[in-house]
Amino acid sequence: MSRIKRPALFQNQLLWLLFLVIVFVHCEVENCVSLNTNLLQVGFVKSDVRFSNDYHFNLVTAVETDTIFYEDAVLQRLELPVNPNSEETEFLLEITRFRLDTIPQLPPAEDRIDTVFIGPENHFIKVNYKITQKVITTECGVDQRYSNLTFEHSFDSIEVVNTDLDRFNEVNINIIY
Amino acid sequence: MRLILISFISAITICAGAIDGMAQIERFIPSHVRIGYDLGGMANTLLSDQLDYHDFIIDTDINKFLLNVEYGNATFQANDLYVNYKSTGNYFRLGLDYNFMHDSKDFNALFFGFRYAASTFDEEVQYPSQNAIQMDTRWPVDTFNIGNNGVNAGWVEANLGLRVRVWNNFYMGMIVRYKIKPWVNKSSDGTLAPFYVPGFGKDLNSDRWNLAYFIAYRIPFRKKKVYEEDISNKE
Repeated sequence: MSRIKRPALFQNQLLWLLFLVIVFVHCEVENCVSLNTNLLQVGFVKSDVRFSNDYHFNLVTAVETDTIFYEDAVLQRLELPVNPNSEETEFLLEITRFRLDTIPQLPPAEDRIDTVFIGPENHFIKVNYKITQKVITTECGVDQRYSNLTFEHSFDSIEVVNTDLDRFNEVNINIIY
Repeated sequence: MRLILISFISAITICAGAIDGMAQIERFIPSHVRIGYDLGGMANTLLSDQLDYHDFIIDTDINKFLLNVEYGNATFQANDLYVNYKSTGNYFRLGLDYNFMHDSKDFNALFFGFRYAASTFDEEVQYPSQNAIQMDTRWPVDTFNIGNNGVNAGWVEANLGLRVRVWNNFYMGMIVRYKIKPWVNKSSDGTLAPFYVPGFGKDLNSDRWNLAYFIAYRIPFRKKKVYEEDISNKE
């Protein structure tokens, strides 16, 4: 049986060369940006045209914390951080509304418009939600996602707009008040 | 006399056919087992404080193919500023490669093939709630201890590799692996999305490249003559 010359490609020397020259570059792009947030966006929609667009929030707090989120603030909407340690947060709101009443006057005097303060009134919004976690990278940390929001409240009516919290939400709920 | 001659020729023909059949069958009988160890595991154990893994590769030849079985265990642990994370588990790979150098007398191999891989692992995470990304920190700090137990993951890999005899029955080699995005099945009802899959790595939402360098020892069963015959035929 005759022996043949093997193709040069299969020579061990060349194989070793191939073995050594392959350089492996590993790139790992780390992005610490998250779209998630624990801020609940609460909008207010006036239930009567006579009400002002602004509401006076005397005090906004939550059960299980001493933190005051708002105090003596005149606003049209709120950003309320839900509790990251629990799947339920109950916010307590003390609100005064402004109503513009027209007071009829005897002629020749013109009717007068008065601002009437209604309140302060105490309300609550209780939010239940599901928290899920994802490690982005160990250097960046953990991204917590809040989803499946459900609400209990003491207002006459609310409109649920978005049941997930994310940074691009304009509003999660509108309170008709 | 004529009858004897015909019988003799027939017997030779039958024997020759049988021998040829045996040779064909013999091609599919493995001639060796090669046991390898991924040197990356040793390097990581020595150099990295995060990843510790050991990966064993066993292959055997079936005609022009190599049947591969791999087994490994890995622990990935990171104690970083914002999070402490640990994942530990086992994995295996099973697959068949085509050896482009099946006629190598040194049993070198330049191969391409596919593997099915599966991993079972546990993971745990610790972090203060205020360290979560994009967190409003006006709530009291609490520490989360969450994790997943008995998570299963599976994926498919395309492998291109080289194995070269360096001395006696010792071989060195490398495998470039292209790992396709895994499926992950959490048996527990945990809220944590799996992060590190032993054998696959991090970033479970995309495919990954990986390189393994290994050393192997070949244990021969029998002499493999079929390749020499192949070479003669080519001539």
